[in-house]
Amino acid sequence: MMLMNRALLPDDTQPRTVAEILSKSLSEAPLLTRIKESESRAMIILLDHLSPNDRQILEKSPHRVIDLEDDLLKTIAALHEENVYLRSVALIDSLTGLYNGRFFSAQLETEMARTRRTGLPCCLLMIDLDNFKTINDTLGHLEGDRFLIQVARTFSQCVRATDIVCRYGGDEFVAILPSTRLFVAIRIANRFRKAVPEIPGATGCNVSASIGISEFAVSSPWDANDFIQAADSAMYDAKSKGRNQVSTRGRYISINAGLESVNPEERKAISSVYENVQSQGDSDGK
Amino acid sequence: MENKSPVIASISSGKGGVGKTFVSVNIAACLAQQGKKVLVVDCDLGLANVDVMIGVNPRFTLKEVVFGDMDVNDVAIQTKYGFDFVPASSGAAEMVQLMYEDIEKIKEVLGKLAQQYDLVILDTGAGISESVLQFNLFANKNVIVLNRELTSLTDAYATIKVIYQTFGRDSFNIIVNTTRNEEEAKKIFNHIGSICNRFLGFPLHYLGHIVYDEVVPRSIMRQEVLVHSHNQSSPAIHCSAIAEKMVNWQ
Repeated sequence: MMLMNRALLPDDTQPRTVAEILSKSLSEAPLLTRIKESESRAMIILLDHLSPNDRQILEKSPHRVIDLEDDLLKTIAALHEENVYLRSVALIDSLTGLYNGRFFSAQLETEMARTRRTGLPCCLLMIDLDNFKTINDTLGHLEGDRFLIQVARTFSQCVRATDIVCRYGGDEFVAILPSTRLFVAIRIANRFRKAVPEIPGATGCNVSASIGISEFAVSSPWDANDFIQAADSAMYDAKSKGRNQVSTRGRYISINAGLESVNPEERKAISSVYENVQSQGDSDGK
Repeated sequence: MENKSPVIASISSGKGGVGKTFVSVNIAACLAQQGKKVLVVDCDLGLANVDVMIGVNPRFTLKEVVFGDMDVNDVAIQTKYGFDFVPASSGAAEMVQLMYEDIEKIKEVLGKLAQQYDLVILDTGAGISESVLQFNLFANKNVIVLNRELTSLTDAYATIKVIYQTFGRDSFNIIVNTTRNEEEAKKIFNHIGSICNRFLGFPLHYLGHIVYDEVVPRSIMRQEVLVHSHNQSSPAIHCSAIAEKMVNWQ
């Protein structure tokens, strides 16, 4: 839509007709060209992006675009609603109401990009329920599903408002903790781990959670797959160490790890302080 | 008896060798002279050196508290300088990379112990490790020691930035150590303060400076505490001035 804005801005001084404005924007904005066949829709979109001058011309014209298509507006609203629904179906796990794996993959990239931009690490929690199969085997799949819903609810209560909890499939859950260091992630993971055995509906099944955590730091060479793999292998560590525990991967802040947080601009400013102080010292005749 | 909650001051620097331990010990001694009940905790868990600085040879350390069943009250020792001291163990590999539970445990036992004191000084390690960050979070006053070297300025700034980014702390007290004179110290402080203001959006607080004097390395070499062995020397007077300011934190 930015393109359209730009296409409509120049030459405000020249008098224009409705047709000129429309044809100019349609030819200059590739996005609009693509939806040219439903020209009326293009016009609606256009109205949002018109320069004040163009808007004025359109409003004065006898063919006011909005007035033409009251029904069209309704259609667009309905389409938009449907679109929102379809997107939710595509991104939400139907059983638990958590985000699904597809959403998780997209969001993970976003959070890794955020870490690269802000310098603040993010963490990934990979959770696998221990002995979940026992519920399915002894109490039936319906109870198993009910239990998973409870787990999803508990998990959502244990994380913070900014954390993103997803069902990864089966009895596996993941959570992205944006702007979070490993140390804090461990605390959150433990909160959840301790809550799992308290969840009702699985008496005698001895269900617990094995949790793997990986931390992605700004200096980390990982891509999204590596990040997931790290959490996954940490989770298997937790399993092999006897389940019902938290295991970690990644940078447990080590000595001098924080020094990378000073950016070049800051470094330059500090160097100039140093030079300033040094030169003053030298001129003291010392 | 007043029942104020204790001042817990972390002493950090980022770079090693800037004088954290010297500052911690001498300020603690000054505060004790002023009648305060003071505890020094050696938080440099892998490379402890407060014990060396004051010439004691502790039998038990924080290590026994974390990995053994020692009570921290039994680990704390009284020093002849009037303050109490919780030692850490030097060269204990397992203390270098403490895990989450270990640091939480140390914070918990120190939190209880601290209630018996007016002021607690946490001499943190070099670098910006997780434990250094956690001790800074545990403290209610954060002190940063720096000197005139470029690496010290950069590391001090990095420490401030990370603590700010991690915990949202935006109040730091600066001690300029090993400086030529007050004028130079103020100049260094003003510059680094303006950089903080510009990039992080908050000012720093000037806690004081300690001038360089050859009695400092000499007293360290002899394992003497300067404010006792050379109490009329300029560095000792400066330490005393810093302690004076810290009393007002209560």
